[in-house]
Amino acid sequence: MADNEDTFTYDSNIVISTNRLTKAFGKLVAVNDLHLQVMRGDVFGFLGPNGAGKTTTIRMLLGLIRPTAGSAIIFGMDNAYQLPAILQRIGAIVETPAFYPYLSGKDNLHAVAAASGMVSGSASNRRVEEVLEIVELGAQAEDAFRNYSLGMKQRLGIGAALLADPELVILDEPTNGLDPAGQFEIRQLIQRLSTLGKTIFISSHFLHDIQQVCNRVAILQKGNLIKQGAVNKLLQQGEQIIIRLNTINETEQALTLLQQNKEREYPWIAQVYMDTSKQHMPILRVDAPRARSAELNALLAQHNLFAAEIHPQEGSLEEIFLGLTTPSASISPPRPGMAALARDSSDQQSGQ
Amino acid sequence: MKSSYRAMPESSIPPAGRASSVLMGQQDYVSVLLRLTGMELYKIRRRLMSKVLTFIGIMATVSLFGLLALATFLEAKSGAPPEVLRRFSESLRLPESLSLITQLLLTLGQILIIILVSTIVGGEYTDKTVRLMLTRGPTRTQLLLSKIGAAADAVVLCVVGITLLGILTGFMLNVITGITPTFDFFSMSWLGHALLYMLITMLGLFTYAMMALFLSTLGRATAAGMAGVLTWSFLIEPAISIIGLFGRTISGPLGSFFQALPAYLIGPNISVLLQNDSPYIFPQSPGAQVPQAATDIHALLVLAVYLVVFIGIALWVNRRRDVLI
Repeated sequence: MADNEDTFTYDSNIVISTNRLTKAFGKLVAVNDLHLQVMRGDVFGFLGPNGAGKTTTIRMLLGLIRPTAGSAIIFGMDNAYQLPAILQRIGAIVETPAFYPYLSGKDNLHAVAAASGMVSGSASNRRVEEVLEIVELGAQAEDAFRNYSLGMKQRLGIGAALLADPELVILDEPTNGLDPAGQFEIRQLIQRLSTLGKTIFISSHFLHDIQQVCNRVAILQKGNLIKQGAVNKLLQQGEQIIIRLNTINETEQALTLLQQNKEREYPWIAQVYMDTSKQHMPILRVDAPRARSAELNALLAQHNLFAAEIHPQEGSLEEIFLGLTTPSASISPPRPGMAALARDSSDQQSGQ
Repeated sequence: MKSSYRAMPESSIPPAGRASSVLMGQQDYVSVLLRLTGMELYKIRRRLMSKVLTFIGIMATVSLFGLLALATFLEAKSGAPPEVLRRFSESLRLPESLSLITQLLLTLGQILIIILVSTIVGGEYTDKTVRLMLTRGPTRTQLLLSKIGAAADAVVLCVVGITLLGILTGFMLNVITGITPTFDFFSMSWLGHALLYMLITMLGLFTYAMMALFLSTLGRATAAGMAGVLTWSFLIEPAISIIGLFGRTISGPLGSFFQALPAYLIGPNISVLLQNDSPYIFPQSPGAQVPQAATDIHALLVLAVYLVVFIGIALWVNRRRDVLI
């Protein structure tokens, strides 16, 4: 089983719960024994490199493909038996949004409205126009879909997902093809939807976006879930304190000091190492909570070592993701914080 | 491998309310189906292709009757006697015009319906909109049934429209011939049989439409439906009919088998139904006997089997397969 963040107990606040969800295409296991849990109100990020099984998982949740084994419980209902009732409460886009090329954006949304069970006529017209304004396609509403840019197609897809005002919104790469301004607007939209009580499930490659909007994430690699948990906790594990001293000699003295004392007096220091990669003056990287910066500063001062610069650095989802999913970390030297995370995840995988 | 059944809690998470601007319709099976069929017809109306096919149908009908009227006119100019002119121009007037209209429907009309149905089914895969529609709530069966409903509507509209257009065009162009149409044939019985004649035509077109639906679903493409049905109806069926004729020259069980084959094709059985109804619609010269090729029941059973196979397999495949596009 993946992360030990929560014990998996059923309650009515769990919107999505997968139990050993598996999909094999012949010998290729695209998704293996997946245990996911998405709580009501979560903005849940679903991460993984290309081919990790994210879209396959989303397709299984939406009933587009049948699992080889396991189940998916959504709103307390098994999607193998109660899919229509589930889908009425979900709005989703899967991969690049596909619409009828010969229909305008507006007509496409009317078709989606009818399929979603909405009444046709003035009520539907009003809602369609409302959604077109939300996704800023009002001016292009009458243009044929085939003439839309990729960004416009993406917006229309999001509009279709929001049309019936669903409780759960599943977005597969929603910012794909959008410029930075568009990505910013989608992030804002997601945050707004979250404040309205929607549960949002996003699969994305844009880790900065995920870090900005998501409160929980799951990381998939080669079909296996290697990490699941709250974003702030993951980022805490990646925190560091950066110290720059005035001379190389002082830097080496500080390194020795911290390494000698860390286990005995400062157990909150995970590891200390010198980073010579960036500037002509090496810096010290201390894997420790950011809140301990003042203590570190005081410790150095006690030994007549005065930092020219000391600042905490928040962990980044990108570094966490790369550390977990690539064979060797891209930063040099490797950050032990990341190594600890990777060690945790490989322990979990071997323990499954 | 199906997952083992997991006991459900007594109540699932109750649905939250929607925005006031979202008005949901009735969610019973039939209402959903009707709504989806309406959506299909809406999409058909919006397609340029539908307008082109309609235009082709209209032009073909008007042109056919126009050519006939022109030929009659030229015959009249060359001094043909009135009796010859009357027989020559019979197809401009009821009841004979019905026969011409039916032939047009079962050739060109069939092609147009096949193109339309193949497109509305195969197009969902080609444009990848199948994943859009399958994630909205209706079941896969309802979505396919809505396409069958739309196809049936298209067939009815096509037959009724072309029939009325043909009768009207023929009637108007008949003025050129100078021959006054008579309505001695008209009676309630005749009207009933004429409607039956049109229904048989609709049944024939619908059967080929379902073959197009079946092949497009199986092949996940418009081309699969179009190429498959056109090949079947314009190549394979005539070939089998020829083999059937050839069977008369072969004695023994093989010859009997070849002779029996055409009786199990779509086209010949439609022809049987039309032929069996035609004595009640078209005047027969005294003493002429129309041999009954086969019974109506046999023909209807064969067509019913085709419909069950095409629709049944399409529904089953549609329900079972993974949507990977």
